[in-house]
Amino acid sequence: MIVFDDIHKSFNNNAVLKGVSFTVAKAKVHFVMGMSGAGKSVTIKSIIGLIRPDKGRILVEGREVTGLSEEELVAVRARCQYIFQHATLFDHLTVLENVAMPVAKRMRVAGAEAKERARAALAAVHADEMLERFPPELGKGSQKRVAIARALALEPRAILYDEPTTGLDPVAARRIDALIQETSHRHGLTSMVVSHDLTSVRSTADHVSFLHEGRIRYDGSADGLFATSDEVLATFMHPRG
Amino acid sequence: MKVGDVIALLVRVLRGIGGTDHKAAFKEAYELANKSAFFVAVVMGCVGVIMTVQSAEQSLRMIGDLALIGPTFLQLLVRELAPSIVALMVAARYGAGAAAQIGTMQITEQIDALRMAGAEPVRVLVMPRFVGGIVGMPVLVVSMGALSFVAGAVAAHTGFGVSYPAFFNARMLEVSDIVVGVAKAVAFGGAVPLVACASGFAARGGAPGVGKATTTAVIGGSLAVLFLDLVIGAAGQVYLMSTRA
Amino acid sequence: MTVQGRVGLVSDLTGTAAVSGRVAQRLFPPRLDGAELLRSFVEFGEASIPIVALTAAFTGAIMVLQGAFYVQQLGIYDLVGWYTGFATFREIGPVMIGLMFSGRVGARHASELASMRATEQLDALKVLALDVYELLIVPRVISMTVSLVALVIFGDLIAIASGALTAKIVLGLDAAHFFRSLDTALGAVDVLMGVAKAAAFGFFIAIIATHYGLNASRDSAGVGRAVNSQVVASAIGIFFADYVITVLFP
Repeated sequence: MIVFDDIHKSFNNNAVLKGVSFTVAKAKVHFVMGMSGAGKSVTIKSIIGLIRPDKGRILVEGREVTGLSEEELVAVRARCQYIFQHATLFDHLTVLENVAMPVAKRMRVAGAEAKERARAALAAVHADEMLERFPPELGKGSQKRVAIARALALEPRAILYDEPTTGLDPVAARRIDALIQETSHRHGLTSMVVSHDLTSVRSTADHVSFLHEGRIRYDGSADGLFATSDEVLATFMHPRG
Repeated sequence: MKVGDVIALLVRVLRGIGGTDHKAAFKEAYELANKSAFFVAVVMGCVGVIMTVQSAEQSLRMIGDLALIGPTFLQLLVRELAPSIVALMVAARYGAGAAAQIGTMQITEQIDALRMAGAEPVRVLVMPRFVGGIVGMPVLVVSMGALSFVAGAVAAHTGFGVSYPAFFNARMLEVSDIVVGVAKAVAFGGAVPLVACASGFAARGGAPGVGKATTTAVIGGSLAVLFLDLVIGAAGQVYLMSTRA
Repeated sequence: MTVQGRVGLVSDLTGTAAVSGRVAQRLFPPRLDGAELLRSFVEFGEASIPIVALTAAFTGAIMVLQGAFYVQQLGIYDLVGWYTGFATFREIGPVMIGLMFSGRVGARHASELASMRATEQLDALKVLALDVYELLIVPRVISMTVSLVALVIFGDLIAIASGALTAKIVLGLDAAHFFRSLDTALGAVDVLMGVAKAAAFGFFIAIIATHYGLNASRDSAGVGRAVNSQVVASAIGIFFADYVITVLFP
């Protein structure tokens, strides 16, 4: 569903992506892994135009999205919802308003209808009890779940997760993993996850692409990655204290 | 941040005032005057023109004679406008900057780090700004007041045909006006940095906390200026009215 | 001012003009979030009432006090009410209340936008294809402009009342005398000039605060700096607009 074709990106003469190519298959949970600073977030942000690659193409459902204008990107962003690493909810709105407002504005439904859809999405992420709270009052795990509800309510075809479990305690992290899997299977959503959380990979990934020194070093199943004999990858996958 | 915090800070500053680092104080005085100079000059220039035009229209309406607009403006400027408007602008520029600086230090725990290193934060951060303000503010007030007066003279001449000698006349200015004006400038010069520092110390909760501290410095500083303006002005008037009446 | 300062000034002026342009685009036909409009009227307008009242009370007292000795010497008690009203409505009311409004509301608006920039909330809006102008900025520009006009009128009345009280205490001038002299020589022009200034100030403060908030640097010092710049630029804007309106009006 999402195709990366020879993507290059540099920041201040520092080449981060040096020819990255891989394909995210439809309705699968696809992990992009790598060490910190390897450029994982860059790949995911390039899909929706938050970052523009220097060279190469990205295709979403067969259509090229690199080089589109802001207006043209609106359609792409409608189909591919992006979950920020820090949830990034709107602090001045309640949880319910946070989910309902984009629905009302983007899908052109009345306020009451938008609230109903928001309620349903929040129920799907098991966040029913916090509807009237404000984001700063919630823990990070809860904020992430609300952000996922916000994305789900807009009925996307793909959800892009930027380090969803980083900074969360193990219990919250596992809940997010379960949620990613659940939403992907229940709605047939394509899920692209940028992460370096090994537990998440093991339990959730259908497919993994490993980014190292600007290129894809591994592109295959999660089990294959854990069993790899490649030295660099093995050090990452089986860290010794 | 409450008024009590500012008073408490004032007490601590006054107690330790003997040990102020002179070089640091002069650096702050220079910072205050220099950073704000262009901005205050633009504002005071506008004020000079505005007040002269208003005064001229007022005089024409009520008295029909423009002889007094220079002298009355000078008296108003020295006693009231120059100290208060310059101080309000300094609160916005220098005060806000100081609060942002100290506020950022507070939320990144650098203030605690100072204390650990044996450097008393009030001595290092507040006292130079307090003393520097007391020195720098009057300098700014006098220079910008003069600029404002000249701007007014130009406006009176080009807009209403008032001759320069007629405008540059100090016949209505008395010693008491100068005393009050200087007293205000000194008081404001201490109050604005004090409130700004107190606001900075009270910053909590990341970047938005620094934003809030900056806002508090501006509002608190402005209210302090207005309050002191009222008090010193009232004291001046009461003195005049009881000794001269 | 350094070369860098001059370049910065040009970019700030063009940036602020660009903001006004984008706001104007969404006014005809009106595209703005009603909920935010109401919310900001309460938060920016209604919540500013105490500080405006305090400022106005101080200002009215100072004005009467300033001339008290001369009034006594020259016996011009008839002019006290008139002068206070004239100066308050035309000049002191709009400017002082405008400055306080900038320090409180303008700073709050700038710091909120700057924080949203630092925490990627503005990016989130972009990604959700929501328009920050429609959602936040245009409602607030309208509410800030309208609020300041209302606050200035309210503040003017408080300042005059405070002036009357001060005149009674310090000069023994009774209220009836004060208000009679205020009433006779004051015209609609004076009130209108004050209202025009208040509207201009409110609009400028909103636009300037928006510019500095949206363009704040994303680091931890960015918010403080945005607020600082906003307050300074708004003060210049206020005095400059004051100068233009004063000179243009009859």
